[in-house]
Amino acid sequence: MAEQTKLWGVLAEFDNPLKLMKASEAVRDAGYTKWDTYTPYPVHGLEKAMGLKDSWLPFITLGAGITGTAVAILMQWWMNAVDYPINISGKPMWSLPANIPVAFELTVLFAALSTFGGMMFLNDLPKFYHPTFRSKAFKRVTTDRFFLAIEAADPRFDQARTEELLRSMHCTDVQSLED
Amino acid sequence: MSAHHKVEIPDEQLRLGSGVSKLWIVFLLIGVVALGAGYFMGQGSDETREQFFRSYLQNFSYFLSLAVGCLFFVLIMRLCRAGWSVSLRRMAEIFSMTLIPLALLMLLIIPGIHDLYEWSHADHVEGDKILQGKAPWLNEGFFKFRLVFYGLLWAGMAWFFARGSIRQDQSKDHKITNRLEGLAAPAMFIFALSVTMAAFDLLMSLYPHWYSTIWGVYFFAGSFLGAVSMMVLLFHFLQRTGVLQNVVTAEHFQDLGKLMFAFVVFWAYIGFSQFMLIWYGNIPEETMWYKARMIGFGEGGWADVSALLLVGHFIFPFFFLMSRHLKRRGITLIFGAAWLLVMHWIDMHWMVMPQLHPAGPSLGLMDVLCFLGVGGIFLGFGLWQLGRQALIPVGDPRLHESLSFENA
Repeated sequence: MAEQTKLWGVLAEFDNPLKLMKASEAVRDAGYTKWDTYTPYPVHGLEKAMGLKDSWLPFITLGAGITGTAVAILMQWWMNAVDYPINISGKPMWSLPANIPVAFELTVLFAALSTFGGMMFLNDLPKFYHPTFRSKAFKRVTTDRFFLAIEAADPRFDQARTEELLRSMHCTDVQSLED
Repeated sequence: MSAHHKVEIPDEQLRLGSGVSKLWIVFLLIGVVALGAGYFMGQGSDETREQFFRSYLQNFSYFLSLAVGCLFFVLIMRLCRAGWSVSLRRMAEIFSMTLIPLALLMLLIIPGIHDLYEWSHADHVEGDKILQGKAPWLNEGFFKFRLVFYGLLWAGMAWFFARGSIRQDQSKDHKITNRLEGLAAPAMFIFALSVTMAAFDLLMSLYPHWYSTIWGVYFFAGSFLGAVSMMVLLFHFLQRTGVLQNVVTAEHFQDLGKLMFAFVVFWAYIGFSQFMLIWYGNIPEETMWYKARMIGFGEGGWADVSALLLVGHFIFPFFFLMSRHLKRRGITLIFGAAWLLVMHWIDMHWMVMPQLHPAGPSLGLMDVLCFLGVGGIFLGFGLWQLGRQALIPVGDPRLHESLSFENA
């Protein structure tokens, strides 16, 4: 098969988080939308510098939690009062206080699993390939280097000008990556 | 990155303004006058005396719980070597020191023992096997001794931890931090045991035939919730007077809000745990306590108060405090904190009063006087102490962490 080369984007390398922060602010202010940063550890304030919006994750958690409560109560109502009524210590067939522990547990279970699953989904994980893997320099992202990648799919992307912008932010290196 | 900024704060930001620093006299006067009036009016007849001591016990327990919650804040933050909360700790230290006047006010329960506690009547104990069995613990002499003991113990602990921190303001000695952090561990054990026992003695022994082993935890859950809510209000009040700007930030308020949220859930969890076991077991000697609180639903009976607590002390604040934005905005968090302080008061009322007014809650002048009385002395003493030192522990080695703290 003939090798097709298609530009994916440009990758800039920084040797400290402060420079990455400044660069992120510049890229944000220049109006780019399809770009991301990569760091070896969580950098406080980077989400503001990147202009990231609040995550949807809390609403997934809330929705799943409420679903868990509802499922637990419906399940117990169905099992204890409808499908197989059985009198336990003279309580009513369907009695809310007895249902609360299970409702609590299912709320927590649904909320926790959905938070984990929702986090994976919102982050496009799991992912087995990413164009940044083509870069040798990128291997240091898990130890001591900080990266910023702007995708060619970004409407404002222009290889020469984008690279120029990144260079002006004191990165140690800029390279273009193929898809 | 703001994580390692050196933050310079002007000195006048860290001292109570001259107007506010004189407020304490007003509060203290209101407190003494109201309490004196209540006590005097209470001497009229057996009925008024019973009402006075009930109201007094309830309001005393309310403000005691706030002070005890502040002491817990100091101990837990020391114990886990917290950095974020250092600039909030002085407030908790000062208000835990209100345990000193509260230790004195605790003595005012002694003349009311016969009005409050059934087990103190020899003729009741005589024909009652259960009360006889509990007599080695629940007898007047030992009870008085324990009241004095709790008072001295808590006042001593609060004073000791606050004094170390205040001394550090001048000396900047890091060793004080190390020592207090080490001592916070045994202090926490003593705290847990003494608060449990005091909750048994002051509140649970109102119903000497009834018992609940989780009672102390229930009292504690409300205490810490109340204390954190009170701190939110105090910090906002102080900031309105122009101090602590950029020292206590939205980040700190958000975290106090998280603690409020957590303890709303904890309170409900403990409260329900207590209820469910008794409900499930369905033994008359245990259910009687809840039965007294589940009558007159929709008719102004105690069942209405129980329902109010379920909704107002759990369901509503649970959803309200969930939001990050509501916790970070001043006015909404103030509302949440004030709401919870009212609910905590109703919770205390619900614990103490049904015995005296079985038909339903009836608030009267005595409740107002006792609230103003204990509250005035509590706030007055706290504000007086607050005016005497810096508003944050300026000598603490972790202060910079707190000043530049940001939520992830």
